[in-house]
Amino acid sequence: MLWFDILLGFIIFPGLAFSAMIGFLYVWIERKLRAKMQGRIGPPFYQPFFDFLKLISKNDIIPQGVNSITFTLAPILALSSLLLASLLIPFGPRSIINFSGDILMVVYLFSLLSVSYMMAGSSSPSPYSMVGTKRMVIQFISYEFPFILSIISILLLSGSISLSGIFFSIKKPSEYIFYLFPFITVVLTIPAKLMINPFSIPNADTEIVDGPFTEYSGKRLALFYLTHCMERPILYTLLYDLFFPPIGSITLIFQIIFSIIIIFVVTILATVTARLKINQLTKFYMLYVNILAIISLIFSTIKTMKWFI
Amino acid sequence: MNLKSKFIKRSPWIFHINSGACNGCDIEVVAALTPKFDVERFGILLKGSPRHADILIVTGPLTAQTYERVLRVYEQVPKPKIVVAIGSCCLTKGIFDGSYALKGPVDQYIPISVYVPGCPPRPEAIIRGVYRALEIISEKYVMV
Repeated sequence: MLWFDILLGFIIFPGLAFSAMIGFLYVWIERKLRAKMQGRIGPPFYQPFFDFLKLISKNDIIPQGVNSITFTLAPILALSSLLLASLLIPFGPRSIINFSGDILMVVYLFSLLSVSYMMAGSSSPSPYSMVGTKRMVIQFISYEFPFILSIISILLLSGSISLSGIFFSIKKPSEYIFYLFPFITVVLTIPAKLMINPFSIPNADTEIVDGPFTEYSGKRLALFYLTHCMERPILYTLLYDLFFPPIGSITLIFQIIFSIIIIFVVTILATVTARLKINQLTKFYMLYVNILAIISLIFSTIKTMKWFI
Repeated sequence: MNLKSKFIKRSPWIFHINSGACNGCDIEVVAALTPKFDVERFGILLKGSPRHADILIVTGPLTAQTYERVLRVYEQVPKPKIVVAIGSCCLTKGIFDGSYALKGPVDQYIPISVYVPGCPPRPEAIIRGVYRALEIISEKYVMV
């Protein structure tokens, strides 16, 4: 029965069908909100869905000079790592698979996603994708360290190493101050992880065509488009699970409401800011966000030591 | 109507190439993409890479320098694809007729579906041209 559950989880909930649909919805909210802020009407709600269908119905071209194995493998790797992450993260009150230490595996799978983007970029000899990959590596190193540090401080605070343990750990109102610093740190890493403005540096469409995805077309690009859409609900739900308690059987509704609030914050930030340079990004994450992450780690360590004494 | 062309009608992504124009038509193409006209409500997006595009917008009389590039970019667009020619120079050779540096109008080398005349055409005319191209794509790719 477990295998049947996992298969069902992969295909319907919370895997391919559900997270793709809700990801299309989130992408539409982003685009519509940006349009409204710029005084436009904006795309209709089915727009990301039709973008995906169009891309998957188009012809595929493998350009001359690319390594066709990694070129084909990269989108599949990206999508499958996200699907596996969706099984580990509790959508609603519980996840499909849970074991001790699955939070580490989720962090690993999100890193694998970025690595598959780098793989996609480095498989083609186009200078645009090369530059995009280089920028992506720098960006990945910059934001990943504070992200992991803040997750470690959450592990210390909740006293559990599994995601459902963190989700169900009792968060007292007096402890909210300790959760505040890691929360801010993780929220600050979202724009860099999703590659949207001000940190849309690897796929800067006005400088380097589309970064690592320049040489992609048709069905392979459709898989990357789907990955971009599915990244959002999975990452936002992970954020909810790390910082907020489950609320009975209506947890999923609260997760979606929380995701939409985060989308509003991130999109408003993306619309009012311009793209930064890569050295500004590195300074921002390596210095300021890192200091915030280290402060949160020190706070949670002090609190944990009190617990033991 | 074919299913493929129905999807393209809902989300046409365009790529814009200058084949030696005086930049007048290019300014009008960019003006057509501004918030005032808001073509994103039809799903139209300007893409940087021809490999992501469905509609190729060509401006200018094909010069000898851009000849190979235009052909190459046309081949990089995955099928089903459609080409829109913008401006008088792209239709005939316009004011540059008789120049030694020209390879001739674009339609001698790549198939063009919609011609938008004008020097330069208004943004409304360019959007109308792209919309007409979407109508044509459903007739052209019935058999695909």
